[in-house]
Amino acid sequence: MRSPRLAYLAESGFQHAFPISALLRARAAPVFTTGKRIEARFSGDAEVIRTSTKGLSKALRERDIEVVVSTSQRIAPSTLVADHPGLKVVFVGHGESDKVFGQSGTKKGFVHAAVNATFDLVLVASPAHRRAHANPNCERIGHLKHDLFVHGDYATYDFEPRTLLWAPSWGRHNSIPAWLPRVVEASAAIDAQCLLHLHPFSYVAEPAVVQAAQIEMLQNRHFRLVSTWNILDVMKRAAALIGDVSAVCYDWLMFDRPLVFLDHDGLAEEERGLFEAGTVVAPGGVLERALEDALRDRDVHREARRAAFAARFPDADGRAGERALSTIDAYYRRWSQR
Amino acid sequence: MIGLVHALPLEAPGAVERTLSWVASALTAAGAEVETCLARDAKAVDRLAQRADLLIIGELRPGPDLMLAAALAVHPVRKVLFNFGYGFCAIGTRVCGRCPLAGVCLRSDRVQIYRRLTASADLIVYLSPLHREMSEHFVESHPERTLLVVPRLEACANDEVSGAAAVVHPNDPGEFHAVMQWARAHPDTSVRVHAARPFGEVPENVELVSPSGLEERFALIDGAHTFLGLAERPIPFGDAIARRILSGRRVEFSPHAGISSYGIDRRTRPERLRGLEVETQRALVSAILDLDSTQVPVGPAPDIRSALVWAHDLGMGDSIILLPFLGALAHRLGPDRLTVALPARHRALIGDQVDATMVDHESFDVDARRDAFDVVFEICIDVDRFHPADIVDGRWVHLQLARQPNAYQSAHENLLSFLGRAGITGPQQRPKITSRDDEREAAYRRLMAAGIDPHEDLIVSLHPGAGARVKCWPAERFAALARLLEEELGAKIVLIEGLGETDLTSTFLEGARADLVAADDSARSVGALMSWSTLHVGNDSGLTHLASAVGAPVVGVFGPSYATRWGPTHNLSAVVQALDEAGQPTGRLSSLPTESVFVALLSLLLRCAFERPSNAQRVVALVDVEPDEDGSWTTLATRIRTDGVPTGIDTVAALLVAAIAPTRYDDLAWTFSDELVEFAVVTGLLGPAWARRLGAAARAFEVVK
Repeated sequence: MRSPRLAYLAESGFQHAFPISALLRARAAPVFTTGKRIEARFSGDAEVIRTSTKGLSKALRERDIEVVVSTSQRIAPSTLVADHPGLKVVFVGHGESDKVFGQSGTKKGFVHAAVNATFDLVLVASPAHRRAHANPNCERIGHLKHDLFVHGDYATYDFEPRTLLWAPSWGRHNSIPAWLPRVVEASAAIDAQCLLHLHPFSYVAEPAVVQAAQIEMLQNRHFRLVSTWNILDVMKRAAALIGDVSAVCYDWLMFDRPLVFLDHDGLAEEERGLFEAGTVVAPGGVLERALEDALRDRDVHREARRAAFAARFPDADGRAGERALSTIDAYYRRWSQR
Repeated sequence: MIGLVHALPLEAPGAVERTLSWVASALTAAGAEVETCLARDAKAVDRLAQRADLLIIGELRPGPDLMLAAALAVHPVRKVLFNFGYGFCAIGTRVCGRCPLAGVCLRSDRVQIYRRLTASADLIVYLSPLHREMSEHFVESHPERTLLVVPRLEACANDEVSGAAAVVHPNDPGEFHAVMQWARAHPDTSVRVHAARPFGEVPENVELVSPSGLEERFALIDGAHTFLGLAERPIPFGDAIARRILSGRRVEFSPHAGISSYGIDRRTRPERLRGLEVETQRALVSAILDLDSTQVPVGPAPDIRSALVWAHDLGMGDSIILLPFLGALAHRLGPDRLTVALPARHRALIGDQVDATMVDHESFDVDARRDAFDVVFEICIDVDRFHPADIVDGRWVHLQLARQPNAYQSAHENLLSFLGRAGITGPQQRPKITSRDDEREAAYRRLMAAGIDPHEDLIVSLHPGAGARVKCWPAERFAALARLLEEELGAKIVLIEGLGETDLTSTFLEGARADLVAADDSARSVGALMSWSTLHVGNDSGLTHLASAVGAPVVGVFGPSYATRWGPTHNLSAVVQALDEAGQPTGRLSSLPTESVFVALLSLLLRCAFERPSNAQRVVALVDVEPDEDGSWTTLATRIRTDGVPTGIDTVAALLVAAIAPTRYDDLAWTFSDELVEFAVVTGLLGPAWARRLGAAARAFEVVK
């Protein structure tokens, strides 16, 4: 039996790009999006169709798409099938949906979002993720971002020994309000370059935080703001990561390099789960020493890091994309037989 | 030399001015040379700061002086920060419990700027322990450099105490509520409330008195049987209460008045208060004179070798809004080190207004050129329009006009305060566009050919369109407004048609006539035309921003967008905003009747000439002439009209010379300052022919009101 006529769908944020990129590596298909930047990002790699959220269903029908793989929990399947009743909608997670708990400890967001139950198929990264999902049509495929890591030059890239990458979360988890001047001063004091990668939501929800960081960049040459659709391209350059509870800390485990966590009052206890894999600096703690140690000694916390990696990435073979597509093919056959 | 910067001339009658004036006198008496300067003249402040050994910074205006505060924060001159209010507070009152900004205030640009200004000061002065406590949470504590000083006090001016009435002047709803509670608890006491308007129900024993000038207000306070100072907001000191105490009169006040934090209550004897005043002020003068002249704190300024401003996916109004931002960068970097890429249409409009290398966005290859610049400022409406390329090695600043930190400040002010916090300040406070002489001349001839005399007629330009129809007040209403303007004021109507707005023009012309229809014009020629307008009425559109920028007072009619952020930037402007039941902006612009816009327009016309006589008072204080006993300027105006210019007031003379030639309001304001021009209008020196019609406007205003 043939494979379905497939399409990928990403909404506007850059955080939606990497799953599509990993899937495109495994199988070509048109990319639908509501965002200009996603359109520009994929325009050389695939046929890209940009339209409004409301226009997506009609656009998918016009191309006779049978299965769409979406990264979005905001664009509900009911919207996509509105003008195209036979369409099957498959959800594949991006960074946010890798979390296996709800927002603020409640059962509302991420894997617990009500919209998840309405997808025809949900593809998830890990056993924990699989256990947390209520949708019966939920299959574990592994981490798509790890595919990018395996098939790129990330493991072998010659990183910069005095470069730090700070990848904070956003909202109450964000370490920037509590730590920005300290990080700028401490990285200068140890003669390191510090790259700050803001969470994509910061640009939408926290303009004051973004501008505070931009001002520090204008006043300090060693401090840079970076912006990229694939954070692995920045991670590969850095010798150590400064984090809080952002999901990218888990991605960093792939590089097996030191982590420094900035603790602050905005974090709940259960959100500090990965802290044992790195050096934790408490509010008011001595940051310079922690950063210098992280740059100097790659072995610090190595065992804990590797244990965390093994727990997080049980399917680390670089074939999550292939598993996703073979799973879709299998479900398509099942759907076709009904 | 010691410089003194302050919002108002020290001759003004307020307690702040009285205190600063006394400080200046005391320093002079101690042998120091003191020069004063008004805060609104940024260039003069800069010159003064360059020459001064020490700068005393008095009360700055909460809105327009924010950029000055930012500039002073990074200026190397030594500073004495003489706080009289809460400059760091966006609404100036510090009523945090009810303030809509409370959640974001501490992170706001305003607080950051004042925090930096405070940190850079050699001496920080507060009026009371309460004032200090209420401020330091925001601007941080520097106890080693902080001094508490009681302001210069005055006793009541008269001995007469009227009947049993109590006089109050509540300044906000919370304070008004406290006074009403007091009145209800004292039903036998007649309470005279000197307030602009009532908030909620008014008890029977309360009499409302319309607000008036400061002197009349003091007379009411002084003459009352009991004075109520029941503030909910923290009053830094309590000058009015002090007046009563110094005169041994009854007063009721709450712990929210800073005077009470000195342990003073209504039973305090006047001698104690006077002793405190003298003692603290002596300490202040001594501290200023003792400051070490060798200490020069320098604020951080960014190291930028060259910069690109890449503005794309913007409407014309957005590009106009960028002008002060671009001006500040050009001022900081110099023309050879700033390149600006703009949409070609906008470059044609504003390209010659900024001293920078200007290029067209459409032909600009940012990826090929970005490495040539030390810093790239990319500006667009929202995050989805940003350049999709990775930014890893360069210094790249993404700025979204639609998402700025302070939703209660206009977009251009947000951009300026961003630069201000980064240590970059510039000369221009709001977007301004100057048309070339030939463009103005062409527009003049065109108006004359249409039977409109720019020197005689009241010209109202109307633009019923906007970038999106949801932002448009119905063209039928514009037509009704035009009919009113013509019938009531004899106004000449210039109708502006934007791209793709032929249908709006047709609808308008079905309901009203226009003396001139400007269609298919370039933005520059429309701008030159509107520069002759007495007043412009438009929606939230690029042409409304253009009218503002070329110097036309503007009435903006706003629907779904927030006028606080996107409203006209001219200092003489008015906004009529459609609101829904919840008080939020709404696209239902048809709910706005013609009369609402007409009233706003009349009110603005009156403001143009009459509303701010206090400014004239300030200006005349500067040029050393006196008003009449009744506070008017009749004698001076008559003298100038009959005898010519009195000796010694060269600035007025220069203004008169300028007034002989046809000159628009904004050109004059730019050259001579708003106050001087308004003074000239009030005294009749500058009487544009249309001002004669203001009598009719005033009558119509009364009718409508």
